[in-house]
Amino acid sequence: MRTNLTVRILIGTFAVLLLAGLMLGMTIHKRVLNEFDIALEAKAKTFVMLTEREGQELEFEFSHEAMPEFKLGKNAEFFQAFLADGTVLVRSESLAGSDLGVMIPPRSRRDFRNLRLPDGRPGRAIQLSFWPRVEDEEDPDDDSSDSSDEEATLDEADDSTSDTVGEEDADDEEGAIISDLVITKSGDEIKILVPDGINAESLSIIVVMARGRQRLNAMLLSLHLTLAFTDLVILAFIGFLVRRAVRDGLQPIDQINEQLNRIGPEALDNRVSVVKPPEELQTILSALNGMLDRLERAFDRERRFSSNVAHELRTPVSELRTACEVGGKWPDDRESVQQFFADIHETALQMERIVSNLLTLSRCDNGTATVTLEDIQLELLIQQCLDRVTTDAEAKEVRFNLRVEPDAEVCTDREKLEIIVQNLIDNAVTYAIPGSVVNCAIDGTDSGFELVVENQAAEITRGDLENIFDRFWQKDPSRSGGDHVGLGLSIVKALCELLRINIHIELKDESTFQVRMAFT
Amino acid sequence: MRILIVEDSEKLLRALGRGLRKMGYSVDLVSDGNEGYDYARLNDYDVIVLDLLLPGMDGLTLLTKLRKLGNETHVLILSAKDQVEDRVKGLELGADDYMIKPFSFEELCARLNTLVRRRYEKKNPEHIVGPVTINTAARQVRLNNDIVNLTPGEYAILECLTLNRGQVLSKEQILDSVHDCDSFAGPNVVEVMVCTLRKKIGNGNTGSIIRTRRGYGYYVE
Repeated sequence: MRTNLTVRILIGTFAVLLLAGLMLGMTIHKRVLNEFDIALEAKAKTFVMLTEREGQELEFEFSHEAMPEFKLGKNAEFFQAFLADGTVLVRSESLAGSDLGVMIPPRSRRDFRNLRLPDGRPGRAIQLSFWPRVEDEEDPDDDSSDSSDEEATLDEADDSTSDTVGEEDADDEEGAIISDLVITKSGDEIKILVPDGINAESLSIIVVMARGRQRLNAMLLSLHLTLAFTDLVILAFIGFLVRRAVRDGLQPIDQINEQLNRIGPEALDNRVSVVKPPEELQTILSALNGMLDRLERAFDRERRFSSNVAHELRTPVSELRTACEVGGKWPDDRESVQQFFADIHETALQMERIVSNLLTLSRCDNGTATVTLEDIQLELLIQQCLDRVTTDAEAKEVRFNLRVEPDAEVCTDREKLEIIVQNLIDNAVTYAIPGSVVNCAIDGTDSGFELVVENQAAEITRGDLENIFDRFWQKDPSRSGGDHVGLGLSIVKALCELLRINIHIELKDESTFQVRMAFT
Repeated sequence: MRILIVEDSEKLLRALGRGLRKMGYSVDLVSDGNEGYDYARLNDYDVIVLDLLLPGMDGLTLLTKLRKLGNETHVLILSAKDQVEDRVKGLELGADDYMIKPFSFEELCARLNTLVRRRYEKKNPEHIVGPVTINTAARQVRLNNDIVNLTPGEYAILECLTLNRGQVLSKEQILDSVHDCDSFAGPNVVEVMVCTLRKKIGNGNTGSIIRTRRGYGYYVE
């Protein structure tokens, strides 16, 4: 599970980092490029300064000495000026005769594109269309108005969206007149004479300027690489941290696992504990330990039961053994031998009853006990049970009081009900105070009938009621032997559960022991 | 030798009582703790066989009270409780031996025998009186190396006199040690038995190791 967890977290982190990296990269890339383009444009705009229109005469003056970067050489920059129809006006020295591409008609006033420079380097070019600036002779010192005029011209040209349309018109016009233009070059100066009749104002110049973008490319590459590397490092770091965190977080589970492995039937007294358990595990831990408590108690009961069974059988077995050994040693003592045989027989029968009781209990435990239903007359059944204890009752001068609802009938298993009732009545007689009365009653209730057996008990206390159904539990262990091994009430309880009879035990007035059974 | 058995199982009492009487012991049988305590302190027994789970007073309490009285009678605990802690507890409270039920009757007899001998502080089971050798462990009597066949009662008398060697025991005392409270035999029985005994181990009424002290009883020198 921890691998799963770690992997899931890492995949998520990777996706997030990738996305962030890409967005960041793209944003920075764009900005950097933008800066490059701004610089390019700023440089290109300086060419505007090199132009001048005076009346019908346009001048373009360019000096390689003033801008040596356009000379031939390493990392040279390039420029080329055109008329609107594509006629080349000027080439920079660096071009050495070749052409920078130009878009005719231009897509917009200002256009950027990437290209391969004539010397093979990767580069980027700007194509700028503009009208030459106008030298106003009437106001030669009015620089501010001049410059604002120029800027106005350029800005208007930039902002106006009808540029292209206007351009086309101008083109049409220009196309008509270009052939009429007289272009003269002298040194660094190019003069264009516009014949009268043609609007010189409408003549625009296109400048394409290009510079190498190696450094730009290098910077962008390094940017992307740095971002990628950083992402990987972050990913690795997070991976490490996440693995640690997951491992540490799940470590209590490992501890619990280890401890649970050590718990077995022989070592049920162990409990599971974790140093500083996290909140979520606390409930599980207490549930686990609670379960172990119950298991331990159940196992203890089982062990005690087995031990008790063995113990209870010891006395009858030793009776058998000694009778046999002594009888065998002096077989001619007929009288004694007869007595011994009678004793052995009685003991065997008692053991048979114990075994039978244990089997009944065992079957109830396993769920293999069978139930045969029939209608039973309660009065008759109780009377039969009472008859069986007459001798013992008389010996203690215990009397019975029987109160019966006439025609009381229940539908249940006869044999098992007899065992239950006989056990209760036997108990009542055995533990009744000599000379007292045992009350038996069958009462009708809303849902059926209720059987009540009550006796005056001297020895039972309230605390005993908890244990009274336990197997082999006896109030006075010395009574053990013969028929009394402490299984009577355990059987009653088990059989009641089987037959779904509700049984309730109470100690009324501290000395009246009452058992109530409700048949529904 | 006199034995008291305190045990709540009637059947076991019957069988044990019968068997031990056949072995020549004088046996008193009691099934209640309180009754057992009374018997124990009022009579002189050589060994008490004591069960632990008794009605009335339980065995360990009986033992403790007996020992508190200063009663030194040897006690053999006979119980179904087999755990080490039970055995240790019994011995620590003053029992001399502990046997677990179910038990072998033969083994019980052997252990009782040991305890009886121990009372008389004779580790050597062989007592030599003149030509007669009495082995109390084997319960065997030899006359000049020939085994003599005695009835349990006769052996009991001889053993009693031998162990109390030098002491004169009255007929009543001898009777007590060979018959129990329930029997109705009188002192004459003792006379008859001593007579038969003398015939078997000696030269009639004179020259026998059993001497008579007129008016007092018998003794062995």
